[in-house]
Amino acid sequence: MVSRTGRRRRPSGEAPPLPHPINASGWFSLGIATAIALVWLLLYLGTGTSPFRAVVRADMAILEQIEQLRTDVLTGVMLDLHALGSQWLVRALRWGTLLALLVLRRFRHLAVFLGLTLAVTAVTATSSLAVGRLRPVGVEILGSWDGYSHPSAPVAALGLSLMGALYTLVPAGTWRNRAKWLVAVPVVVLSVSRLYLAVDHPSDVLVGAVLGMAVPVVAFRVFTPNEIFPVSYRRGRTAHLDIGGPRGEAIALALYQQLGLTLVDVQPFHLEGSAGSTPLLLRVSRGGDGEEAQLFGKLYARAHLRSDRWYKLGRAIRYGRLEDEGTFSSVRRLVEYEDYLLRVMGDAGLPVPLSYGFVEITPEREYLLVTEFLAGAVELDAAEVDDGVIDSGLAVVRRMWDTGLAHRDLKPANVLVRDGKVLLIDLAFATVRPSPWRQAVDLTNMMLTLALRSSAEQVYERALLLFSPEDIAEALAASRSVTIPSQLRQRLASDGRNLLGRLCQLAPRRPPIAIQRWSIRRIGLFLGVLAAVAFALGLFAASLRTTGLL
Amino acid sequence: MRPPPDALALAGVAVLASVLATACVGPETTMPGCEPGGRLGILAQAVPTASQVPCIKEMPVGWNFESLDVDSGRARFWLDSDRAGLRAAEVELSSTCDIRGATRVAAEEETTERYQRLTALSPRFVGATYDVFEGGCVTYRYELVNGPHIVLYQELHDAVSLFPRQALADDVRADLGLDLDPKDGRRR
Repeated sequence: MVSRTGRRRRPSGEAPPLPHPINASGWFSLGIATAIALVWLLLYLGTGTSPFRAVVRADMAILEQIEQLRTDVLTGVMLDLHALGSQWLVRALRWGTLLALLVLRRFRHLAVFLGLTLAVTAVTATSSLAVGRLRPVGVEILGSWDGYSHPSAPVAALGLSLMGALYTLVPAGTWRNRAKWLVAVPVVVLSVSRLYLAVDHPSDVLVGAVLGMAVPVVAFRVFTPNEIFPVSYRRGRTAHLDIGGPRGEAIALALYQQLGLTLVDVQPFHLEGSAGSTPLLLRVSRGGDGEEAQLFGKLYARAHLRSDRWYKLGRAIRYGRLEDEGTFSSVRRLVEYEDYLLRVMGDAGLPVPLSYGFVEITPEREYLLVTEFLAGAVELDAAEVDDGVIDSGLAVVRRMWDTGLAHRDLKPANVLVRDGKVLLIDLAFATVRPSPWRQAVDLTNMMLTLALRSSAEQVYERALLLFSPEDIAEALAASRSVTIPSQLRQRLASDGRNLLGRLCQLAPRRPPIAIQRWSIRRIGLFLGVLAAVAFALGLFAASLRTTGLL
Repeated sequence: MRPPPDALALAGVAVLASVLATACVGPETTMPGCEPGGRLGILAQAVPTASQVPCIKEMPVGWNFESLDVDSGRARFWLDSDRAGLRAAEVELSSTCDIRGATRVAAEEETTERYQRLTALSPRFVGATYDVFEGGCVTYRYELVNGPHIVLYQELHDAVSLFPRQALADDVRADLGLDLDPKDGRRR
């Protein structure tokens, strides 16, 4: 038990440990969106009014000044540079980005890129039709053009293609910051050439550049935030939160103020084994004597909530009514649930880590669940498994059966051994009052996990001490490949022994239990997903055509 | 305390609102009616030499404006007919047109010469009419899949008229105080 001091209630009005305010770039984004809306409103509704005339005259005054600079040589150069707005260049850039994202399997970035391209192209085209602005009047137009003048579609298209490649392929930080300047060069050059050739007005170019460059920045920040979906060329999972910088400081502050723990060090822990949260090893100092202790932390953010929703949708479609369960409405509810299950299982006498509760990092966005760190425990894979360990593991399942609980994710990574006793971790999927089928599956998965380090015969023999042959037969009859967690399934495949088959031979014969349960909800979900996939494919095909990729 | 509103999400909403707002724009928005303004002016800019530009005087019953395509050098628009079919007629403004093999027919206006070339009469009525005038030409291409062909042909030519460039220039000058076309001395 870790002693704590220093708890403090956050007074009303004080910022949370990691605030999420509207920062400078947020205000900037909001500003440009408002400015564009005003310009469009002015151009669309304001024809003949003084502000409209003022914009047109300001545009023309600039173009007339530029016209004074025209020379034959410069005109030749500008006509060449005007080719930067070519549809072929834009097409090549977009296809290059698209193929690179496919190869890199960066599907979220790919979806955002396509969606963004579709949206910006649609906005550019429809606003152009709505405004219906003439090309510059009173000056000779030297370059080729297509359609109405506002906004400048080639500038928007080039900017969007370059920014799309930048934000989906170049890692954030120094490289991306440098590349931003590089990307700006062709867009500025194209803009200058179009103004020189009097193809566009300055305000057309400006709005085109904003649509092509500023809007993608906003979109990629919203839909692929770097801290959750980083562009990285290093191996390993990337869906983990960065715990350095402001977030690291916020974790320390939150632990001190909300749990009275002084953080000495925080390190990522077994990231490769977790996709649903960011696991952390926390070193904290005890309150009074300053002695250090280790704790385990699970950092949850919105991305994890979304993962949980997708996971549950998949399970509901795969299994039907047996796994019918609601999704969490917020990150707070998600972390509250796991904290609750830790306490319920602890109260039931099950060997699970002690929960210290959770701390709020950013309200409704990020929470850190803090539990005991099971020092000295090893994963079952690395443990010596004898009759004692097998009995301990099976007793855990027996206890869950008796107390109306299910773990639902029993696999080698979630079954630890310390001093010859089994410990359970990762209760994110656990449930109270599960279906009988689900409890039966827990038994099979525990038996298989234990058998991997011993034998089917040994595990079956020990199981008969706690379960009736009929219970075991039911558990085995309820199990299929899809009910076995993927890690356990992989271990079974690499083990080579047909452990499930052997257990079935040992147990009394029983017809397989149908695991598919049909309900109106399941059918609705299935049809909904099917429609969504069809819609996405249609949108994808349409976007390829609309955005000039085909 | 609830988190402050997410500026980025708000900006996203603003963009979405723009998408929805602009999604209300239909093809008829771009229809070049026979009245001064940007919808017709852009056609004049496409062919700077043309002294007249084609416009829709009044859309006959059963006909619809399909779309407009305008770029530097030419402008085209298409009309659908509930009887003659989709894109039954195409109207194109260009600086010149090839009238070889066409027969001169009576023009509707003194400032133009009208030519006609019919390539099929039945079952489809296929052909082209050319209005040639100073600095430009308007070509009407039609392929009328169903009849009555003569009625439809007449409706098409009644619907499309020619609008003088000078009137457009006068409007731009009155509205913006600017010239529609560059002064000759400023061409380079």
